[in-house]
Amino acid sequence: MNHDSSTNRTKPYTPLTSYQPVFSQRRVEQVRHFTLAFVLLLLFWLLLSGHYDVFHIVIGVLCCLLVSYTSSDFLFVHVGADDTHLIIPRLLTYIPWHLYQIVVSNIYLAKLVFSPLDRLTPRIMPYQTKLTNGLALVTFANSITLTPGTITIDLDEHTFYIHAIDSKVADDLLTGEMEDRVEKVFLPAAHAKVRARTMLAAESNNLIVKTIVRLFTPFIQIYGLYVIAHGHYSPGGGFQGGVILAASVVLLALAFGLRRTMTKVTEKLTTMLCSSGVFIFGGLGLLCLLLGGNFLDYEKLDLFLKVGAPQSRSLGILGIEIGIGMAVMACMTSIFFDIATAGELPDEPSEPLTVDDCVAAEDAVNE
Amino acid sequence: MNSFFLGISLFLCLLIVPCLYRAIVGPTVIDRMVAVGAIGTKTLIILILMGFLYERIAMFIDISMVYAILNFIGTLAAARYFENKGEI
Repeated sequence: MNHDSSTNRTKPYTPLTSYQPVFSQRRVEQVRHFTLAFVLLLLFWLLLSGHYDVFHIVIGVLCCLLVSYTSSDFLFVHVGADDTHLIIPRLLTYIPWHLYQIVVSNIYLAKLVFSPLDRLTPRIMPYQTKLTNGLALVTFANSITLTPGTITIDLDEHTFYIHAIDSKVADDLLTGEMEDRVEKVFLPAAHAKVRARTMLAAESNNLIVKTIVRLFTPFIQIYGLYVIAHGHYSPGGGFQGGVILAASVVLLALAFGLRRTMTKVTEKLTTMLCSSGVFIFGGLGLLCLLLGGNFLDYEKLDLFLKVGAPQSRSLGILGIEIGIGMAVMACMTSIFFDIATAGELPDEPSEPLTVDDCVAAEDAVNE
Repeated sequence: MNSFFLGISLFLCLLIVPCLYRAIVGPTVIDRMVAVGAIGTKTLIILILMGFLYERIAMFIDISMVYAILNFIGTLAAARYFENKGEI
């Protein structure tokens, strides 16, 4: 979680001259990452939603604020704030080239499939890479896998192990054009070079899985919240959205280890979410009962909402969906935790999961 | 256009059969995992084609996205499970 911002909010106003070192570079970067994550997630939400009235956009903004508060440190760990605006446009020019490569090798492979069997000469070859940046390594590994004919099997420090289906695709890869292009995309700003190098050592273990999960998690969470909030228009609702949210926690546990995930999604949090979800559901239902209707008779809520019967029915359902979503997410998560730990809590407290380890290692180097 | 989508869907359904064979017979766990992954990818495309057929593409895209996420998590979990020999 974003500890600094919570302490910051309670702090009284301090004049500019007494700025603490905590506030400086690191703090600015955090705020920048938060804003960038928020914008990206909101774009994703608008793309999904398709409802552009004030009500839905307000819900979207709230959900995006929530997710960027909990998960913005997942999105931007490797990229220094100075590089982000450089990398995104470069990536946008790399993608069309890569799509073209995919089409070309697809056609080649289709021909290969219909030719005699002895033309296939599959091999596994090591490939020494000059890339050092973690994101660049992951992009290159995935580019190789996406291109038909070659698959990345393993990444070990600076060596890729690649399966190639015949000599031509292998030779194409060995010319190194793809690697050069990927390198160009992630070329850091001059002063950020130290940072790029220290990151690899910190996270070389399962680098690809960790990076992909790290980048996906906020979007999966936004998707889960979208399913909850749009339950009365499209398939889904509280149950499905809650399961998707829980799936994002499971994904984190698979990539970063169960214990480190449990430092972020603690048992206290799941218990609180679970019981308050049930409270919202039961509370709304009983409120309708108190107002003279049946259990969950949403129309009676119009007494407070004053928006007309159909509208308050819709709002009532949304409230119920939110409650169910919270409860289901918390229940699924704690069921997963209980099964995966076989009912035994970890003895020693684990180091917290902030994915900031790389940044910490980097700070140590800079000092 | 509808018969075109229907044709592609049926063809993909047929292509699932060899994957299913590998998933059932496949001598090693890895074979089965890859086969299940391939079936999942095909199902994804079939779901979207169904969306075109029923002209409710927005709804089916939502469903197929959930399917993609769960497919990814499933493969990852299985890989983790067999790599760590029964521990997650």
